[in-house]
Amino acid sequence: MARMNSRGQGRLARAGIGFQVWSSAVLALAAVLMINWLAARPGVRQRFDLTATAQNTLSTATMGVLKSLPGEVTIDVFFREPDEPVLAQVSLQAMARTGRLLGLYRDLSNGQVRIRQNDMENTALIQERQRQLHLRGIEPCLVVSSGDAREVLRVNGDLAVFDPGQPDPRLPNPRPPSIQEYRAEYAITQALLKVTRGEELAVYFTTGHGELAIPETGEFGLDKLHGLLMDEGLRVGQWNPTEDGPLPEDCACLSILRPTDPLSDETIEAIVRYVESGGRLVVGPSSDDAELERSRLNELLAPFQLEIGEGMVCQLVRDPTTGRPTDGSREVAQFPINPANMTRHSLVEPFRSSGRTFYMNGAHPVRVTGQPPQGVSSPLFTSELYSWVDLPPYDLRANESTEAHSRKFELALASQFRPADLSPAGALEEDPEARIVLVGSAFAFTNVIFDANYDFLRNLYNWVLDREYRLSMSPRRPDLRIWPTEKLDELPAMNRLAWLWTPLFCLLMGALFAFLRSRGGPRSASTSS
Amino acid sequence: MRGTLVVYRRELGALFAAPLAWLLLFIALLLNGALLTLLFSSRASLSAPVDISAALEMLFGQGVLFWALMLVMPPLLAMRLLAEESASGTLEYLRTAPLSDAAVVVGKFLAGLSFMALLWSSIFVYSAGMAHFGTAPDWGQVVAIYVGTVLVSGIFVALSLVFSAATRTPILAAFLSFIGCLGFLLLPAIGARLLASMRVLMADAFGSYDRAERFLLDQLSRVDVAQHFIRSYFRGIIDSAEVVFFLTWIAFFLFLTTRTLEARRWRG
Repeated sequence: MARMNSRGQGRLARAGIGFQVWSSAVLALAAVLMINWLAARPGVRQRFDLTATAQNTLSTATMGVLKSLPGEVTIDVFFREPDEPVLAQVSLQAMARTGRLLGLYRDLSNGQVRIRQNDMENTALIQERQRQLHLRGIEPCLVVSSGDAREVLRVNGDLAVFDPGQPDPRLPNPRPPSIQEYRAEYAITQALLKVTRGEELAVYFTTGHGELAIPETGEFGLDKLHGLLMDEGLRVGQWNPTEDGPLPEDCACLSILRPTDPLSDETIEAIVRYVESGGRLVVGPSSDDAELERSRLNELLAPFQLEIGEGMVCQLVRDPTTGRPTDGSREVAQFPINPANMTRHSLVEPFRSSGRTFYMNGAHPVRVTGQPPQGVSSPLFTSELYSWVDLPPYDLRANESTEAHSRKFELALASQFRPADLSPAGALEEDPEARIVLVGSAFAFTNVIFDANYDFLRNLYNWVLDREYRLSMSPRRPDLRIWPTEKLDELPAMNRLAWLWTPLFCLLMGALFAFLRSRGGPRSASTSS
Repeated sequence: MRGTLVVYRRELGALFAAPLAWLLLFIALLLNGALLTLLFSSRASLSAPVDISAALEMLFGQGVLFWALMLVMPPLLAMRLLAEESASGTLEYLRTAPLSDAAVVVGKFLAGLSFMALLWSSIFVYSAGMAHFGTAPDWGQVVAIYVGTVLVSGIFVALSLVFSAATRTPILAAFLSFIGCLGFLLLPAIGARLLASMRVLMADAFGSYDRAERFLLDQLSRVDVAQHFIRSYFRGIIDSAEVVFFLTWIAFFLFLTTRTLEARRWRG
């Protein structure tokens, strides 16, 4: 009886211990899950990108978009082996890179962006998902959707541009297919904006005074700028004051680029009134002094204490053969803006900090004649120290007796201020702020220089529209580490190091230890420790 | 702490004094080296560019060999660390020493982890070779990958120790550890498959169960070791949340090992 009792107590004790072990394990598991949950909270989580070119860091523009997403966005991935065998390799490369990029979007969006990998083998599921997304047909693509809105991004065309190359070695210039341009981050971010944004902001361009024309496709047209603004999610319109009447109410920004004919008193008054009530204005004059004078742009800018000077700012260029500074050629009036000559204004800060440039051509010197009462006007960038202002008749040479020279000239200004006649706010309402960007030459906006100035123009319009979070630079090229072709004969040595010398070293170490052990060396050392 | 160090030194000495450890290293490095050679030679023979970052990624995270080594090595090490000692009776001597069970477990774990760290340090040998003979890899990414591989190894060594503590038969411990590690690695994939197959079933019965499926997939992805590694370290990112993920799971498995040892003591 006593034995049975002790056996029962023993069982009870074991059950108790078992319960204790299991319950502590469950509690520990709960603690692990909770700590992990806490560590992944946005405020707590810290990321450090160790790669040399910050490949795992999204641009500030994308981060701004992710932070301001109003709701959840789903990105459906429909990636599969492409149909065209020629482009299969580059397609797969682009898809792999996009896959990595999508991981960043998911990780950095605080759960706002959800990536849905669709199993392309499972036809039934694919068809069901396509029905939900109102899609037909199959092509490698991403579908960005939020509610009813959706955007389809094809691998070839939207996420990347492929060069089919010249695979036939018998034909001249044979080359393998390659990725000509990879722009997935830009495309995905634009798609996120498109599916989540509400009302589009409208940018109007004045017409009727000989201005540069938005639909114009030639060198001095603005159709590339038009495309850029559309890509940025803006609506673009034209305003002819004499034909269209008052400035449209939905105008978020007005651009006046190279007017050659005089703006009427009414037009000037309407624009001044618009800016003074918190409007946004972009001004770029004609390079020609006579046209500038005729356009009356300085009269328009006078109330805001901004002024466009006469003449054209030129810089010495180096003669390609002698290397000496020289003048007299067309290049003196078209020059890159050195990051050292950029201010710390947020519009140009991305260029300054990343050491990139953009171009000016035939720019007038501009200056701030006084500060607005409730705001600030400041220069954006200047010319080089040894510059001069070429006056008509333009000879592109520095005439030190008659022309201002040997100093930096301001080439663009930004002004932001609160409207002076603001009535006291009753209830909560928007606090208006006027913004003006004056660039020394409208040429900087044209097709001929657009590719070099793409980032500058994008940032300019985003700044003037108070979308600072979208100021950014185009992504860098991927950091490819390719074995140099001139060192291909060293490859066997590398291979030998990998498969022969490294393992052999371990084998020798093992043999050495075995030998020492047989003589009582390391064994005794280890036991004594 | 001192006890942990004593156990660690003892285990490390015993591990590297035996030729078995070096033999395992030899085999692993031979396989890794052969794979790297194969990757390089295949690209070079096609006159295609030899992308060294892609080769390193294939070796340390993307390839099957990496995960195979991750699943095989820790069980073999852990089998020696506890089950074999238990079978030979030396564990009982160790436990009569003035050391806590936790100190014994942590010391043995660190020894096993050191072995794995040595194995994966081959990434530095390969990278230095590439820098010397060809072009340098992205050193930031190399360091991050190394830190990640050591942490992933830590999880599998710790998990293997749980099974090693639970049985006195080394081979059984190694087998159970392998199954355990494989299960832990594949748990999210198995779960996702299961949910996908249930999807059609549930859709027939209740219409759609999108939200429930999404919730379950999210929970499963939280314990996805491979994804946690590939999402951060593999790409050259040190993410505090991922560091916490690996350290907490290692701590959890070490805690389980300690409790298992303690339970054995009480069981007699």
